[in-house]
Amino acid sequence: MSLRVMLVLTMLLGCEGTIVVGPMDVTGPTAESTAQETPPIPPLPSVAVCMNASSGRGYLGLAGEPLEAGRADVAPLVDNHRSFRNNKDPNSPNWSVLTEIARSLGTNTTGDPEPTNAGVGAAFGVVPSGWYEESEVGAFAVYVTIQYATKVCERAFATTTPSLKSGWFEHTAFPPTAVRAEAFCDRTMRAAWLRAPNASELSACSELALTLDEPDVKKRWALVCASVFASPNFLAN
Amino acid sequence: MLITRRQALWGGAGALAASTVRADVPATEKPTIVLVYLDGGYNAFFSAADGYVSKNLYGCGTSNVREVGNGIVVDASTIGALPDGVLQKMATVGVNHRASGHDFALQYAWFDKGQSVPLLLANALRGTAPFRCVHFGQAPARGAPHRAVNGVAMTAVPDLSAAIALVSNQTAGPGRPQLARALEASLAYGATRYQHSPNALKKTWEGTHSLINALKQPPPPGIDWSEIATAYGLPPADTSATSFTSQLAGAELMIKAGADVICISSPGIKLGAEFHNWDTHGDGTGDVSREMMRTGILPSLKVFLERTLAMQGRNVVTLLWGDFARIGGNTPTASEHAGGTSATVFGKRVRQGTTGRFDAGTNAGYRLPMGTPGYSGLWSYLTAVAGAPMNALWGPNPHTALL
Repeated sequence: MSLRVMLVLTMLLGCEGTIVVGPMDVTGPTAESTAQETPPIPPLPSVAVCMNASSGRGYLGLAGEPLEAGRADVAPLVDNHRSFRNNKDPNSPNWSVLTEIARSLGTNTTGDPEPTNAGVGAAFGVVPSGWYEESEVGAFAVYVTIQYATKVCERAFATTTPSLKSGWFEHTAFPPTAVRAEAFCDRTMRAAWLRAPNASELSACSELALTLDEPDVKKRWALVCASVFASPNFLAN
Repeated sequence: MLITRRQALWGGAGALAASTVRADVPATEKPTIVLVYLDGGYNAFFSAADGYVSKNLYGCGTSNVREVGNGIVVDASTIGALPDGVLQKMATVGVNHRASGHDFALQYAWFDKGQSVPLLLANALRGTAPFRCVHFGQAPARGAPHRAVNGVAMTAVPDLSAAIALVSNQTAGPGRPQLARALEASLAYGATRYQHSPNALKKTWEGTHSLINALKQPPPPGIDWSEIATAYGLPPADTSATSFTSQLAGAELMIKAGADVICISSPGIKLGAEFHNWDTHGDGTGDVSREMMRTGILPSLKVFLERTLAMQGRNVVTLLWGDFARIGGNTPTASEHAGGTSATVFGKRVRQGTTGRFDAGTNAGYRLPMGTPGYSGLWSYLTAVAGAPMNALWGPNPHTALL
């Protein structure tokens, strides 16, 4: 059997549903039943389609209802980001997401109660038992993240070790200017997201630094820094 | 949603009825609906024990049931042991949902035509708090997706410490408006990612918005977690929200924070070293179910009901129910699934009475009276008791005698 034949067979066997030519009748109840009052049928998503085939097949339940009803249509390459799990760090008693904030900034969690606090860890929800289950980063997880990030950012700016000085300390001692804000945001976003920010991300961050109503300069920079960690660019893959 | 002429007419009639109901509800009374679900089943001797008495099913006899008033007969050692003030504000509501399997029973209990019932209820109550619908423990219906309804989202409260800090203003560090502003920037950075993963990052997106909304408002006054925890016998440092007691205490916290709907789902109760779930197969005498209720639910539920019924300016409606009532009884393999449930509702505007009495028939079954509505009747009743306008989805309240 040639590779080409095997490839075609694999594609056919790998598809779910039966491919038919032309649209299938998935219009739901028959004319008899529509004469009575029947509940409206929710819009149907596209039926199972294999790869680039032009049509798929709908399946009817025992009562004649289209089984696709209510199923969400998902486009390719959509919904591929996932929130990180807040596991216990295998090398310490710390919760992993909070530890990562400190690591990203080149500092550590020494003496902080938050990374080992059961409540702070639990704000991310129970770690799902199986990898196929979604983790949950909701309101309270974002809240504890930004709270802790603000604290760690402020501490990092007060630490004048060479690694922390570069790109941060030289700015955070002064009120933000456009140039300082952009340099600071670029540095923080690269450290937290492990990639360069794009123009709109930089612009939003700089605007925050320049317009935030916080008279304490160090706190102001810390909040700008924390905003970077509370975004899904840090909290999700 | 399509609305038929009949529904429109019902809607008009219901609106008139609702306006009558609202007239006696002080405008300042903030309604909250608390949904307490026993995941697996809710034996009808907790709410309509007279159906079992004639055949002495589940050990029910005249000596161990109690008529608490207006036709409600309950198990004396459990629900019947609640204070009289609470029992006078209790109703039994028949729900003829016709789902005797857990999968459909759960779906019918928590979803209506694919929409989340708690979120539909929260939407109907029209609150303004940042966290309008919250759940403790496992998400209702074992994690099935509760998609936002009209912008009202479900918020998980996995632990109370962050909630306490947020709603009781025990926030150290930056001010609330500054944090809100920083989070708005966080949303802006993540715009592309949210756009690419609207479902996978839904909870983070909705959660951040709820959080911003919370931070922009001053925290509600008068929330004292230490006082609440002490009332439930919890150490104030216990913010775990994992036990039924701490979840009920958390529910009280969220009621005071202005939530519209609060969901608690009990998977079961540990008796001694053994965990028992609410799907009480084999409990032919009912003894296990009674003990689960007596030790695991009632002590904290009693505190919760006494406190919430006495709250000034609040109209807290509590629903206690499960997948279905149990059928059979008195045999070692009994306690099977019924096709309906006799749910229990508590609330200061509840009129004591029952629409959930049933006939065990000749075969130790569970037959609600002809015409007993399904879940739409229960949801309609809850919105009416809460003082909300009638919801076109569920029609007018069919349990008029209980209001």
